[in-house]
Amino acid sequence: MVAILCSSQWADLSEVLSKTSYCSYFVSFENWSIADLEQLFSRPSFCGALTESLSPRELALIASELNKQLLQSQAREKKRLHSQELRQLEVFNQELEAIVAERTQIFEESKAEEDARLIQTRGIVKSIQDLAQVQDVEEILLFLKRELKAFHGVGEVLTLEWTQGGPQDLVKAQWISKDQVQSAMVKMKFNESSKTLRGDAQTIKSAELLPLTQIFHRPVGAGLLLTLDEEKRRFILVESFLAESEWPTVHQYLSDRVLPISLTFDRVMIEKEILASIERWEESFDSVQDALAIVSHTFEVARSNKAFERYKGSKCYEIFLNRSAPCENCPLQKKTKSLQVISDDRNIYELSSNPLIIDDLPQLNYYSIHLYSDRTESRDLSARALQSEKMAALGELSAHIAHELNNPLTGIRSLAQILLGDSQLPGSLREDLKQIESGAERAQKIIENLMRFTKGETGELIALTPKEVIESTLPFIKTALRDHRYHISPGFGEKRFLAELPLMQQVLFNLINNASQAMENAGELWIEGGEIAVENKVQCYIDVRDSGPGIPRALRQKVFEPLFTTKQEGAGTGLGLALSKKIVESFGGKIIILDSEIGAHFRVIFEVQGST
Amino acid sequence: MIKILIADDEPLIRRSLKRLFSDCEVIECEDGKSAIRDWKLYQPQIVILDVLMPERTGYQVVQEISEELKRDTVIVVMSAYSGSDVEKDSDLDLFVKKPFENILELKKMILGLL
Repeated sequence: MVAILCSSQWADLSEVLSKTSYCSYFVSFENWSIADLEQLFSRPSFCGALTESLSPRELALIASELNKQLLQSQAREKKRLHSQELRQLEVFNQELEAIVAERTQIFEESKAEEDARLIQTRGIVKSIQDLAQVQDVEEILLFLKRELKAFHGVGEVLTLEWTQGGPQDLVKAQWISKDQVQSAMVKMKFNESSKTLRGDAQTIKSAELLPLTQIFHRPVGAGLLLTLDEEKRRFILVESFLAESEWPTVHQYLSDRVLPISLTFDRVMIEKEILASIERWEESFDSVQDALAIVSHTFEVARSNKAFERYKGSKCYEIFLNRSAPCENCPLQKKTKSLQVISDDRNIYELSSNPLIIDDLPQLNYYSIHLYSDRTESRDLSARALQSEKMAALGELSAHIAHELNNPLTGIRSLAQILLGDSQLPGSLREDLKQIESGAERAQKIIENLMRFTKGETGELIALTPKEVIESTLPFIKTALRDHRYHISPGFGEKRFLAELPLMQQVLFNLINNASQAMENAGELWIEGGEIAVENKVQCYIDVRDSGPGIPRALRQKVFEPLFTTKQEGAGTGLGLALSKKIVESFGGKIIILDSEIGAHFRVIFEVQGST
Repeated sequence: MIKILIADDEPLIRRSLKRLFSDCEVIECEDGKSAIRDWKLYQPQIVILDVLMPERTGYQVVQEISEELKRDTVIVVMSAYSGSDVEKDSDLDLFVKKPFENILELKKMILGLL
């Protein structure tokens, strides 16, 4: 707004100016002091001075003109500013667009890279998954061959393993030919510079691979050597006929996978070793002749050798002993190292139990190694040895006693005979002397038999009758039969069979002794001898029958087995019947058990001598 | 009268033999050593020796006696052990297995050797 101001001095005007906001004003300054004028001119908004007195109309015109000019200049200025702003905006806009374009480009580039990396990673993951399925070296090589098919120009894939120790330049090469793994030992120098860290891959010139030509019977191209295990000098060699520019791709491809491959190789080798050692272990396990089993606390068999697997089942006692319940003295529950004797129908085993705690919770997973050593034979043998030793000692003792008794008996008998020869002897005295003489004779016979029985005049086969056997044995067993009633019918003693008398006495003694021991209370016993005709043959027999509890049919075979005894500990060795059977059979006879209404009925049968 | 030397450590046998030969002069010995002594001393026509005796066995007694004495004597040896395991001495006239079945028979046999 333009104003025209009139005032006589600066002071008034400056007051007005301080209160208004005119931007342009004209001042009529007639009669102003110089100082006032200087003040006025120094004002930045002062435009000009009017020196002549003008009429208000003229002033109004001037003012309007001035205002018009002022408005126009303002509009121009506004326009100028506006266009300047527009230009600036445009520049700014262009800058922004440039930034956006740049950012977009960067973004797009990184996405492509990311995608490529993703594909690469997926490829590796796939490879690792494939490698996880691999079972052996063959499959590793097949896997590599399959994977590397994508690169046309990749040749053979081999594993190379330089021997440790021994000749340094011998390498075991394995490769696939016709879908099967081949292997060969090749003389090839080991380059110490190849000994790089696991996972490293390096190119190797074809000249260095010259020894491999003898495997493939053709020139071998250059190769990539991947270190699987630098310590074990184990490598993978990939033969390549690719142009040099294509190598980095294969190199990269293999570098990405060499670690999983190497680990797979390790795993395969370890698995192979484990399998081999399991096999070795099983073999040695099976080669043990004694039965061996790892048994859990519930009697389940975890592992066992062949000697152990005798019957069907899952529990130890089922499989090994064909039992339906655990052995009475099973050491398994003891959970300590122990030695026990167990037995089945036939054999006696020494069972050594060694606890094996697999898990940290022994109460849940408790195992024991059971080793069953067959001691039947040794028990049998030692019992027999003991028995024969006893018999030998007894024989010696009896011989001495017999000799010592024989002398006075001979004297007694002889004296009686001499006195009886006196014709003047009174009749009653003669009868007494006869009794003394016959008593002494009987005593001598007993001694004679005892000596034969214990000393065992072995090797001398005599034609015996059942009667002789029975009558010569009876004197020894009268004490054994003291508690029982017994009936003897020794037969007529006509037919004879060949045997050794002392041994036959032993057989009969055993049978009678068994019979009298089988009868808890006073019982009855029948001892009979005789002859029977069987199928045109005449047989001699000696029967021993008792009124005891008898022998169940199921046990009839068993009673003849060594060490089978129903007697209490110490009462019998369990050898009596087994030995008797052996003795009788050695003379061509038999011992059988006959059906009987009461008690047991044993019969010893012999072919009559000369009967056909 | 016939002189008979009987050497046996069993008094009952000595006694029975003494009674058996009651019609003869019987010299009794209970061991081998005294048998040698009395054989030399009495020079009997018949000597009956047990094999197992203290000091000397019957065989040792026979061995130790000089040939001259043996020639003039009927020598009888008795043993409970079977004669088969003992080497029969050519000096012996009779080997008698103990126990005797019938002692009266024995007397006849021995006197028959004279």
